[in-house]
Amino acid sequence: MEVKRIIKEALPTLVLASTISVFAGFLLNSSLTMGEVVGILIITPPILSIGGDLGTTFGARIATHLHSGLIEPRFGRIRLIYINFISLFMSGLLVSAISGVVAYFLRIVIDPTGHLSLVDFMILSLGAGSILYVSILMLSLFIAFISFRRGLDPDNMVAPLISTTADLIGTGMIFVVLTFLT
Amino acid sequence: MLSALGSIGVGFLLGTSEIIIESLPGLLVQVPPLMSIRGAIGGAFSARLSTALHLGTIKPQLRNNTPNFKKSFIAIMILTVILPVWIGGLSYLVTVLFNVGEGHHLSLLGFILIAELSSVISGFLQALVTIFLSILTYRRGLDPDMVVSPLLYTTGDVIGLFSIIFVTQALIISGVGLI
Repeated sequence: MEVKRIIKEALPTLVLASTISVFAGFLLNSSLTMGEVVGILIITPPILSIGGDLGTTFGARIATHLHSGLIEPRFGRIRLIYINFISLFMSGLLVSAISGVVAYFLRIVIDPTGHLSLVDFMILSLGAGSILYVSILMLSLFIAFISFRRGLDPDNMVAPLISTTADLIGTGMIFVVLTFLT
Repeated sequence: MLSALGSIGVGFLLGTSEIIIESLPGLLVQVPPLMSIRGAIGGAFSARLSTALHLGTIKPQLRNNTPNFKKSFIAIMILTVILPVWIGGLSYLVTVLFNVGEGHHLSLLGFILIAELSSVISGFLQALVTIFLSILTYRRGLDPDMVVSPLLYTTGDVIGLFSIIFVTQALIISGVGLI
């Protein structure tokens, strides 16, 4: 019975992913108690989605390099990994900076009474963003190596888990940065 | 880049629905999981459709398709129905345990009702869009994997959030006791 097999294979990952994500939702909810509501609701989704995108892209690239034998699953200063890491991190920061500015102006449109300044928005998007991007890139490298060593295809499990872990770390970092700001 | 812009749109939507979110403490807890399973189920479905189209086990037509097509569709709809119960229940538990809203929060029924209805509506819509786009791109000689999946991850969030806001508004208007 094919239906049963699809569900059996997909359900555990989805349950785990949604469980992680509920805690991300809780952290997001906690951030709203810090005064500013609208601004935080606007800036959070782009930061989380950049984090998830960077992680899954990096993971997919590492998986391809591993499969084609260009790199070996060992930690160290491998040039190819280093280049990928830095370029993805820099592009993440760039998009983050743009998101910060756009989010600030959207906030002004929806809620002119909000008190977070443009500088606060930049500190949030770049500060919380950079910690999230570094940790999610390292994590996806780690997961890709481990699963490849065990003979599993990194492409299968990594994507949903990385994007929900990005949600969790991202909302956590936003909460931490907000605590410093207020 | 494109998906970051898409999620600023999601943020904009969240920002404008601030009043609903603040009037129903706890609701926000289940927003990220509902959006992320939307993307995960939709992404997996489109990947499976694309592979099946390439293998020939699913035909690029809307009517009289293979049993394989029906089975994949039924499987993702079952997942779409089961998962919100878990998400709603767990969100309720987290809300109660961490005292979100200090005693004034969404009821267990409210959590599960919003999660279930919004998931079924957005899941069904997304499945239809996925089927339609996959068949269309495949017929044109394009690879659905390159076109449909990236599109779904971004639109999944928007459709997911829209349906949560829509369902919540509808429930408030119809007078169902959510708190």
